[in-house]
Amino acid sequence: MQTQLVAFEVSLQTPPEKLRAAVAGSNLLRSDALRSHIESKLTEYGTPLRWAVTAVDKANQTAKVEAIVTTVT
Amino acid sequence: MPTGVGAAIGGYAGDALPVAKVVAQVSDRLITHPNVLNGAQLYWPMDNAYYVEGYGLDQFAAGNWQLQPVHQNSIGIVIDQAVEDDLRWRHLQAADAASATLGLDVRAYVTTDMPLGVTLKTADSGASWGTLENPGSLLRAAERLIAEAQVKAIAVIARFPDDEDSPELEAYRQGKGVDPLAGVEAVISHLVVRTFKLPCAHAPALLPLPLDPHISPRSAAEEIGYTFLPCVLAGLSRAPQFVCGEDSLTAEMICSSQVDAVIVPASAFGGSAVMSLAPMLNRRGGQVIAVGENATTMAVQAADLGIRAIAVETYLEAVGAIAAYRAGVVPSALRAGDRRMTALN
Repeated sequence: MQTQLVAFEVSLQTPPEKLRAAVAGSNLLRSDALRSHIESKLTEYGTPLRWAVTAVDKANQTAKVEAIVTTVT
Repeated sequence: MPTGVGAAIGGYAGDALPVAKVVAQVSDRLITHPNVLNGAQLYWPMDNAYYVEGYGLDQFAAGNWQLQPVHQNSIGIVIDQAVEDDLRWRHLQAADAASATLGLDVRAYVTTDMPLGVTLKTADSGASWGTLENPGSLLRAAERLIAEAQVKAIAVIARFPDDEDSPELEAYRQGKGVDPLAGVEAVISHLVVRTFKLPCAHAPALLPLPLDPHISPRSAAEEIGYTFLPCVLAGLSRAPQFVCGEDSLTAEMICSSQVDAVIVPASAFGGSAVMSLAPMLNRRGGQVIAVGENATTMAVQAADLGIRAIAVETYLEAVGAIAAYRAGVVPSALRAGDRRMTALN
């Protein structure tokens, strides 16, 4: 097992198929829907230990995510 | 208060404990993590404060795990093979002292079968993190304690690099910057909690630093002894157990749906636990409180994620907001000026 840091960006905008997961009156994902989206994306990198959105780019409606994951070697 | 992000309050050595003591006074229950409640040799027992490791806190907030309050836990200690003899004895004596003076059930210890190989790193955001060269050795040692000594909580003592001349350590001792150890401490305890689903906390083993008469009071708790272990043992001795799955729910268990308020540094809304709890509280009319004064290296405000929060500047105001909530009083009623209803068209 190895521990590693991964960083990626996710869109804050709600895809059309997930409109019910949008903040009322906006096109942004609710934070719980965003959390699910991030956790799903994290599985591409390994098994997450901890993660956080560390910054938000309001102009481009993206969020930076940093996470520590474990991978099996 | 997230770990390892340079929180102005809570980013140093037990310096959030005064906040925890006061929040506990105005709450039925305070649920927070070891880095808030640990002050090396200093701690403060509170009957209604629950010592919940960060991975468990994330799972609790997401509704995946519940908390089972306990009267006591038997504790086992994992000691990194890389800890030198003298330093190991200092830690074992601290554990013996906790047994003799506090009556804690510190039951057994295991030395890891390999050095854990802790490395400290910093992410682009400024948050500290790090790696273990041999995480499997940590987990094997914890497993032995659980299987052979039937312990219910695990304290881990890992040998951390003595980085006496690093600018990060110098800044930390001055009450500035990011705790360079905190991020990898979280990695260590998260590994144990994720694997075994029981309380865990970590105390780094380090050689004593040369005396510096000018260190910050916020960092001073880690300058007064050979180990940071006493607070960890005290916290673990009453840390709630984790329960997974709703089938086994009992009336004493605490669920995330029972949370009425969450208090967060205003710039740190991007953590997993907050992103779970805040929308639920927004829907239920609970309180999400953003504290402006507690600056961090993060840059995620509540509004960035569509979260509605009560903006306050200080923890004094946050405590007032909770007291008002409990009294059934809207916080704005405590301010000068008139409040009027909105007429909906």
